Amino acid sequence: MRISPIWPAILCLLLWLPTVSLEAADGFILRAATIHTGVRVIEDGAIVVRDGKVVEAGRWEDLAPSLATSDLPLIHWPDAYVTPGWVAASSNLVAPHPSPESIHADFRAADGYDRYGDHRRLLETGVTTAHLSPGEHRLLSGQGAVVKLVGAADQRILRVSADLSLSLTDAVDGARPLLKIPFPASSDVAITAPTPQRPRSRIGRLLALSEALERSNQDPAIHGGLAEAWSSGLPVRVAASKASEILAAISFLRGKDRDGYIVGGTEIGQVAAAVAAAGIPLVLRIQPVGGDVGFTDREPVEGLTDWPQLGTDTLLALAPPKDDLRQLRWALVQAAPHMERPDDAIALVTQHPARILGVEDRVGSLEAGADADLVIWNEGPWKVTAHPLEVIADGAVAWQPQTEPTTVIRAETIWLSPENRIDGGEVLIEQGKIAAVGRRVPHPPHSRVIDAGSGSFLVPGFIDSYGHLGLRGDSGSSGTGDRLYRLIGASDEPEHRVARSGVTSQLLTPMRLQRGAATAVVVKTSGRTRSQRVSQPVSVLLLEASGHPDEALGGISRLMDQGKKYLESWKKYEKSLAEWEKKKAAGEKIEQKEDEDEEEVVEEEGPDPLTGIWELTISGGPIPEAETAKISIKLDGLEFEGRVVDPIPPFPVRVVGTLDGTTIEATIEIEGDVLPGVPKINAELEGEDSLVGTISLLQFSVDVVGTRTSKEAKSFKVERRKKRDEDGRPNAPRINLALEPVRKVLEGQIPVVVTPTGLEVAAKVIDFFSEKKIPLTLRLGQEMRLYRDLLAEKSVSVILPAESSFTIQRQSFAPGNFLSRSGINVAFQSQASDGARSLQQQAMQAVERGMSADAALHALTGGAAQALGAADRVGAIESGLDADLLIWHGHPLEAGSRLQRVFIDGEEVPR
Amino acid sequence: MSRVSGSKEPMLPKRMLPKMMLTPRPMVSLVAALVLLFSAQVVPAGESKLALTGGTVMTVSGESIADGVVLIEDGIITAVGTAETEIPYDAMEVDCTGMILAPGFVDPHSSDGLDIPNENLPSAPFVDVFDALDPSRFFFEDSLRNGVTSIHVMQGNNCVVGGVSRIVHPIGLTPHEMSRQAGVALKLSTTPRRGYGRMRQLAELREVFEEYDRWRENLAESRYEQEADKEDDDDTDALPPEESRSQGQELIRDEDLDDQHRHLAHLIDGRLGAWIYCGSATDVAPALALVAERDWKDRAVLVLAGDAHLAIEEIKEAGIDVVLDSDLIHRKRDALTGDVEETFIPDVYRRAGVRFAIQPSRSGAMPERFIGYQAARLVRSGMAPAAALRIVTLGAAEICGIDDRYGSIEVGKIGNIVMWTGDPLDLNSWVQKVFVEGILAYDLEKDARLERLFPEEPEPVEAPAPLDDEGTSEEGEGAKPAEGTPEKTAGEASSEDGEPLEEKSSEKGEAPADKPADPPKESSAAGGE
Amino acid sequence: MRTCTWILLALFIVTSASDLFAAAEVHAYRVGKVVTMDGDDRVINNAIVIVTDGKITAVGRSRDVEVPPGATVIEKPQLWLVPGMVECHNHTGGSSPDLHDYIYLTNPGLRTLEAIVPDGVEMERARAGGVTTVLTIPGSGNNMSGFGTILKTAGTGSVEEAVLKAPGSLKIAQAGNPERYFYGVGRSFMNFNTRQTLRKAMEYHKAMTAWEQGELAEEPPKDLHWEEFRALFRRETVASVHTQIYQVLMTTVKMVAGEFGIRTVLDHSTFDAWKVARLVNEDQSIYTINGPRQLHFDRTQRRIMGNAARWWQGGVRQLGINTDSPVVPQEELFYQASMACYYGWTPYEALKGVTRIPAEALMMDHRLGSITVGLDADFCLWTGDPIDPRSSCEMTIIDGHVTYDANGKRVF
Repeated sequence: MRISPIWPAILCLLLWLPTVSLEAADGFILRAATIHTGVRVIEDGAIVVRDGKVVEAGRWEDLAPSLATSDLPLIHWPDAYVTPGWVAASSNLVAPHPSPESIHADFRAADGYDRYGDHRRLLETGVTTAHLSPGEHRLLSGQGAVVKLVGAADQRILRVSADLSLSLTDAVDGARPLLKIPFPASSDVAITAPTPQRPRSRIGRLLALSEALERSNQDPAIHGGLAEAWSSGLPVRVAASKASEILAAISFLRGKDRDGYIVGGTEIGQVAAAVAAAGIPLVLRIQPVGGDVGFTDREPVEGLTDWPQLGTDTLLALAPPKDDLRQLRWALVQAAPHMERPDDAIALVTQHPARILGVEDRVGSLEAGADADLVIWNEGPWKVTAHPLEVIADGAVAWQPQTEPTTVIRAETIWLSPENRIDGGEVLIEQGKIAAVGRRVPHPPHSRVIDAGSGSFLVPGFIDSYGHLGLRGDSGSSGTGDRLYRLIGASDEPEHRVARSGVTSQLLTPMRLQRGAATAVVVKTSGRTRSQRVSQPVSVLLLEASGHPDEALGGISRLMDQGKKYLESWKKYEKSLAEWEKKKAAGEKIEQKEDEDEEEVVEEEGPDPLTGIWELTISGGPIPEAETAKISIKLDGLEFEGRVVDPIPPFPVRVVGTLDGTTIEATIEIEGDVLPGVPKINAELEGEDSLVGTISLLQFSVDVVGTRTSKEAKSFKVERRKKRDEDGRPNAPRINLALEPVRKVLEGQIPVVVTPTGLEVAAKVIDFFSEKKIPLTLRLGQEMRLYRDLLAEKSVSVILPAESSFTIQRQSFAPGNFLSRSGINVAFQSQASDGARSLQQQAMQAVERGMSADAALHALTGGAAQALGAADRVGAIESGLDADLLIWHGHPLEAGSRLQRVFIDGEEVPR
Repeated sequence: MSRVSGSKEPMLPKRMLPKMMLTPRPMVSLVAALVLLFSAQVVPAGESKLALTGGTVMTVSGESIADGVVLIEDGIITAVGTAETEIPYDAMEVDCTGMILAPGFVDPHSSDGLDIPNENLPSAPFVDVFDALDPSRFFFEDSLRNGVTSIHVMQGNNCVVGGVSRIVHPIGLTPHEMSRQAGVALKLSTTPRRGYGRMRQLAELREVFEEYDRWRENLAESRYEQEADKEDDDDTDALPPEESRSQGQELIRDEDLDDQHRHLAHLIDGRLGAWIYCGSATDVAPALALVAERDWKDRAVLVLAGDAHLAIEEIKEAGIDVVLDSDLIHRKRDALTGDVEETFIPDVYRRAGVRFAIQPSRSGAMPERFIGYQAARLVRSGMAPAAALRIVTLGAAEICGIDDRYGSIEVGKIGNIVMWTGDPLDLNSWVQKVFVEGILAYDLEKDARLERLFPEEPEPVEAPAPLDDEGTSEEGEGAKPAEGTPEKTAGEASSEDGEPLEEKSSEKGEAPADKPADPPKESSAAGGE
Repeated sequence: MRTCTWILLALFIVTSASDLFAAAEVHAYRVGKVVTMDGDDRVINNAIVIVTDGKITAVGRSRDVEVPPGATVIEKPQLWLVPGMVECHNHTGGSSPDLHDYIYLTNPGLRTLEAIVPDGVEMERARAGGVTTVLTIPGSGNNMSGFGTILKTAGTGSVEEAVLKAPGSLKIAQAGNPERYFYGVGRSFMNFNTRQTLRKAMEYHKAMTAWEQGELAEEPPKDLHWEEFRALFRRETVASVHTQIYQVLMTTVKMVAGEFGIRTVLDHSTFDAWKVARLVNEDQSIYTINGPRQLHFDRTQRRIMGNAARWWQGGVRQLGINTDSPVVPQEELFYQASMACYYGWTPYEALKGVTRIPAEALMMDHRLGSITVGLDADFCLWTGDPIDPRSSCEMTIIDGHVTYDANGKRVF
């Protein structure tokens, strides 16, 4: 029952998106460096979430065995600090009600809450639950509520009536008498005198409350049904700031024998003992630091100076300055230094407020049974630079940063070069590149912080200077016109193994060279698409020189001459184009020379290379097994259009694109928005009736191979080319794929890597290229012994042979030590088809043979990059280079050191 | 009657040119004005028999009938059928050939016909829109022109309890003449009125009903005591207050209700509907809670605006009808990215299967003023044309609870029928004639305000005297904008009136009807009088 | 004998007193023209009006009327004698701070009688302008701001002497100003409230009437709020309704006059109110007193319309003019009438509209408003037609006394 092979495959690409998987599954397992459940701290902990609830929390090693068979996806944040979603014990989310009564129990803060409000701006500060207050501007202003800031509208309100909200602060004084306008407004209706409101004085506040309670016993309707609200046993929330107010609050709560808590507490320091003795919970509103106090007679507020010692039995929670939830973390930052351990402060914004507000069964902890509201922080939230990386509410992602992910790696040693290292430094990675290196680097918001810990040693990723990983058993020969990089798709298991060994780049070379020449490409060992893995399609020109020294260079020389002519045709074109543009910009008329106006006919009559039925096989990437489909394509000029004909897709699928030479660029158009983007096809015709390429969608790509099973006889017209367009603009010369790499070499863009065999050939090669000032790298065997001075003089890089030593004339001779001591740049090569996992071992053997560890490390990294002409991209920890980094514990080339983590283009290679 | 028979003339093409040339212009406008303002007295209801023949009858309730006949007697439709339908000998026949007959639109919720609606008194369950109806409002005239024949007039979006509504016809000199059903529904609002927060709004709303409950308990108690006194039975009078209250509930009579609580009592005993305004999604839950608590499910309607459609699940579950705001597109800006997302609100309800009605816009010169345009937008968003027409006729009538009399062309319903030149949802169609209870209430040919829109002749080159130029160009008042929609006045309080009587007499002398020579000059001279 | 002596003494006193004042009691005004405004609409040229004891005792052509012996003859052969004008809507008969009491939306218990100042500057200006009677009513800031008082503008004597009828009318303002009440009110609440107030008053009236007719065993408690309304519901007095635009005037006609059967005077009745003419004509007891705004600019039609003329064209014949003094100064009542004529009304009807019509509207036509035998001698001598702005009032006679004489001290 397979409907269509391609489209389900492309759809299944989506399942790779981590967020989608998180929401699609009914739960997940989260593993993180530290998990603070609100009650305890778990290092390398894990929590299991199912159906929006926490099922289990504990150490990863304890849970791992039982989770091995779990169907839930595992999310691993190896550096993150996870806390429960924060609970703000006080907030300004709801404006104080405007009604004038000074005692009225029926104003419900829950009514003022917008159940559909989008609070992601607050979620990004880590707060997921908040208390709503009807206001602290009245003696009794109504009923508070507890709500979540996210979730389904009917689920957001945790407690409609959480408390009765009292206030003993100065804000309640001077309530104006209540004038009831006669109603109906006819003069037979008596005008009653304005009802005096309380309190009239500070000392009258408690009395007024008691009086109101007394009166409400007689008349249940007065004060907004105070009698019922009071008898329902709601906790009493008392706003009290000054010492006298706090004492009054204690007295009131004790006198009425009510459960309740105090909020505010500016002067708590003076009466901490009394509060602690009474055991009344306190929501401490942290004051803003400094600030312009203006010309009022208020005393300036100096933040949190005096930490109240309330003892362990009294619940203490934090409220942000001015109840502004965005500042709750700031309050925590201030409170943390007063704690025994900074971790202890987290309870003040999670477990304690949840208990004070009576919602501890739902929020404020990550123990089994609690709502899966959690915040993944980049580091301990009490640190100034801490930020959430993700906020999850009820098991679903509630907030994710909009910014590009950035990473900061903190290591004990950052190895920059043999001469230079930083002790205790940081590296900032942005968009896969190293953005900053130093002792302290900027921490952009929401950046991941990876603290590599003590003994950590950060080095650039290793580079294999000559390997065959990625050929996939293709042992055929390859020429300069072939483009090796087209073999590259998403990295696979062999690449992953190599990457995990610390080799982040490899010069991919063909097994055999066609007529002594081929191209090679520097490939990253990890990446989801070809474009991620290959930044320069042709990285070096590979050459072989062998035979008699006088003839060995014949082929190379001819190739160079052809390349030179080709280059000149381009130079000529560029020159005339520049002239044309200059003239055009100056508005001059461009005269058409008669001779140039003639057509340069490159018409080829031949079979239409594309029209017909193609059978495509798609594999690689996330597709579990290869799929095939048939597409009927019709070429018209340079544009073609095709349709999937077998198997018939559920909805019409068109392929529209262009053919330029042999390059096919196309997009797949599918009716209906079933895909998150437009899949793109990049393919190349390979001889008759076959093509190779990729289909990419978002960051995914799959390989596609096609053969034509039938063709329609349709003539293929190549347009007649003129040297100039009708407006006189010169036309570019035809691209000669075989000579393109040579052109790049001649322009100095890429180096040549030459493998000389035979006596004296190497010297000829060195002369030939140094004369042309072409950067040269040689692969030499033991004959290098003869050319040390020449190599040093001409600054030729050498790719070391696999052997760590040769014995010549009974003398042992180690190539690495031999060359590097003369200042010659060297690099290691694996020549392996299944990857360069032994590269580090080669380097260690070189060290064993006398090479300095730092020099060997340089040969693995910067030296290799230089040899391959890739030093502008890889091989060093330098701002602007690719973030290919290895975290070692100890120097990589010392015994006992361990490679801990590998980053390629800023992304960690998973274990 | 004579006017009705006069329209047997052959029908004019779509962009009709009224045959007004033979009549001097001021006469025409006088008659038109009289028709507009005093039509209720022109042909008294109850004596007319009217047969509309030859047109396509869009019954809404059933199939459309090509070349159909609609018979209206005493304001009630007595027959709907094909051309074979028998027409009584004494019925006046109106030839509708080439026209479309559709039921008049039903405006489900409007406060436009009011002179200072009550938006100030927060809790006013006792008021009635009757006392604020202003028959001279241009709105009523414009309603006819746009094919609206029944209006549910309701006030109080900006209240806690906004008073009781009624069904009104857009013709008549006084509210008595216009009103067709008093006491349709009581308006409540869970959206904070100006100056209120949600807390205060909902606290006051609760207080209204709690106060009513207390009042009713006391009333019940005193009623019980009254009856007990009357019976003079020693056994009964010693009941505790709770029991006397519950027993007294049965004894409360209509005359015991006072003015301030009568409408609330009617709402609670089922005589009034509960229409609750929710200006945003978060206001829906309290409204639904109130409906559930008081068991109003079968008579509650939500009047929705803003982002209320976000609460679609709750609304759907509650199974309550809704009336949508005139602004049918909701734009939401993402809090983080700033991207704006647009929602065509009726789509949300249509997909959810919630029955809804739509309103025309209340102001401005936008096409949303036409309820037909609003319905046309439903078609554009994928609704079948017949279903869209039903939304603004029978659908709205059902939601207002007046579908037994309004909303379709069916035997037994009130003869509110609009004769269109084309499909009612096509903005190129014009209302040719409007019959309200079988009375010709509007006639495009006599619509003085549209004269300049369809000029009979080229206008004179010289600009006429300023007073004559009734604002064809400048300002908004009475001006006819260029885009071809009739009369987009800014809804000024001013009303229509007749041409002065003395001008009528003087015109008779000066410009006799049989002198058609040089009409442009004549009209300018007449206007400058 | 002693009795006899007393009787003689009394006779002497009486006769001598009557002799003493006889000369002052009878006045004969010989004038060029008398516009009587009586039921026959008589205009008498070269006429004599005899005033005896403040009452008109004879009216006629000079040759037909015999001047009683001893009568003071005032010869003004060039002047017109016109009934003193009656102002239906005046706020200057009392002290100005007492115009309003804003406590309630309906204040039925209030009376301007409490605030009357019989002789003020405004009264002097009134009589200098030919206005001899005014109905001083409270303002229109509330839906019902109390009862008005009808008083002469003579400016002599006590309040009791000046007051002609109290309460003279009930002031109702259905809209236009009361919207500014505390919480701000719309039409529906104002009308609800007014209706409720009137209904309570009516219930009180019905209860009292029932008791008076012996249908109730016990006398209902007296309630000063509603006591004054009894005359209103007996149609012995009227309601002055501040009412302007279509919607409000329509409500007045349907509610005050229709629902409650109150004799209604439509004060102002400006803007587009004349469109309600058909309704007004249905109740012949309604008087329409137009002003002070005499023109209406119809913004949809872009045309100027005379209010009074429109009412007249609508068939309303009980049509008068007011000033709303001090909005328009009281002495300009005639000028308001002139303006009504400027905008299309006819002068004679306009003159009637400031004399007999308001007198009838206030149910005072048995005392005022025309030069008819038996009525109060309230009239003015004008240099010409009072509606003509070139004419001036030369002399004002109230209750037979000359209260203004331009020859002595000219005010205007």
